[in-house]
Amino acid sequence: MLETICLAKYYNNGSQLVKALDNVTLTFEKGKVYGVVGHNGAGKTTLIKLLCGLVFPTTGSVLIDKKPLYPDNFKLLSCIGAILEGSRNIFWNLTPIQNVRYFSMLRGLSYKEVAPIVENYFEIFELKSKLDTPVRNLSQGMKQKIAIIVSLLHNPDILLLDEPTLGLDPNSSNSMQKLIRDIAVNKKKLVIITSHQLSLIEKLSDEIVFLSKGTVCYHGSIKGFVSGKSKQMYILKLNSDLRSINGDFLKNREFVEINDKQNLATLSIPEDELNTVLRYLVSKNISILSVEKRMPTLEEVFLNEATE
Amino acid sequence: MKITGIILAEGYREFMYFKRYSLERISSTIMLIFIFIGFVYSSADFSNGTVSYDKVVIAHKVVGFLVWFFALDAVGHLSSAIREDMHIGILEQIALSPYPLIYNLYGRSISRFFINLSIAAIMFLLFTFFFGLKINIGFPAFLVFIITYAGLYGMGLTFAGLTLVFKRLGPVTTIVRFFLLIFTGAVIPLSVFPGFLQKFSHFIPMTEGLNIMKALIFNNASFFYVVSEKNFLYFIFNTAVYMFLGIKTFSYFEKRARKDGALGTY
Repeated sequence: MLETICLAKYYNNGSQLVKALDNVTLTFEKGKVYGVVGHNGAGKTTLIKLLCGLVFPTTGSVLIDKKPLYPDNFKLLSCIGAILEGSRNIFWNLTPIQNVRYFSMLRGLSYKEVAPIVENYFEIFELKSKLDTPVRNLSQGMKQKIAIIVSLLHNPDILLLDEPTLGLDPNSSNSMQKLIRDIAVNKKKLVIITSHQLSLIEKLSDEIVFLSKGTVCYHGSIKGFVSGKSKQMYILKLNSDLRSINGDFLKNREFVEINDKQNLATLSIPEDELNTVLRYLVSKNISILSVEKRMPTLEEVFLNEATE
Repeated sequence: MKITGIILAEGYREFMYFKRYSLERISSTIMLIFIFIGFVYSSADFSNGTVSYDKVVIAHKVVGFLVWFFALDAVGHLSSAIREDMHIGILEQIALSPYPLIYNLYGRSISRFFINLSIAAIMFLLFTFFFGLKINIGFPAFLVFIITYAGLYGMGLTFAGLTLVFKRLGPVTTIVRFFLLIFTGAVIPLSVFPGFLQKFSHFIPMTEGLNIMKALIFNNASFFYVVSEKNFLYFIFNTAVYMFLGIKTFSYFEKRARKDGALGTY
């Protein structure tokens, strides 16, 4: 288990202190994937770096299995694997195999010990034919994959991934997502991801941490976040050209989106507007093809938050 | 995890880089050979229309120059290695190790020592053959050299630590490297410098080491005699101070870099 207690980080910027994180108290459990989301400068990367000892906190503590990481219990870092700058986290002048050899030695492991794990990952990421090619000659996505393999070499209990699918093609991104879920669910590891790809976070995470201006605004399930931040939506499909009716009624209503094409229209309506809109449509003899309940996506809520 | 693993990893990296950039290493070695030949011929006598030089003086210069060759690397390599790691973005990944970064630098220093030893051996053979010299470097002199090297690496650790926070120290280490060539008695006798510079020179880890090495190699002084001398004790003390300062300074700046979040910035 990984915990943060009243974690704060302030940077000294000349004469003033700049807040990066403040009063962050969180608990992360093994066997789950956590998504850390927030706008640029919200403190996501600072949080990740504080969790793995790369940045020292101003106040507060990080506990790994109830043992404090700070001020100097860095032996605990042996159970952490991380990707912080993606493809920049590996040596471009060495080949993938040479990178693996270097990082396994750095972790106190021989190549023989890591070979079965590594070969499996090379297989999953379709890198077997590139093992002796210098990393600089590989594509961005391949570099990213090697960085991920390197972070998994010592079979860490905690995996911190900053933008793990950056530069990956859809196939590789898919393999990566499966791998992350497998690591968390089947191998009972703790995975923390930050990404601006909110669809990825939504797909992978069991829980999310929403950071804004260095403080935690929400920590819990995605469903809880979405329902707490926005209204339940209903999708109405209509067999009608909305231009023939009084569009003002619909257009003037908040949350109503109209997409009309030929004689088909789709309305996206919040729960509290549903009855009024339905009554209006029935009074105008507009036939309703379907009514579907839909939760807003994480991305929609996130964008909505940004606008507010 | 074992510390030996870190040292092995860094040794492996240095070796792979040496292989990858062997042309750079070869050309910089050739450049050093030319510089040394230039030193010798600039002090040679050409008055009779032929070249003549004092072989004893050249032998002293060979020893001084080769020790400086190691100093060149010891003082500047760690700093430039840290800068390169920050620049390419790998330093944070390395710093995820449960041990302080200084162990990585120990690993790099040890592997560099062996790489430089093989290059120095080639230069030594070349110089002795070219100038017809006979220099017998025995084990005691080699031992003194290793202690000298440790002191120089103490200086190197200080610069590496400063690089973590101040990033670009290239010109500073270059000044120090040439200072070591000129003001330690490596190729120019200390006696030609003003008194204050001579005194200052004895605070540099290389000066006393070179003096003792030259006494062992050229004056046939016995190791036990040298060890019993006052200046040997000072040499050991001076080396220990540089090592201690190097380790402490690096550890301080590593902590500061982690506090400032500067490990990943360049």
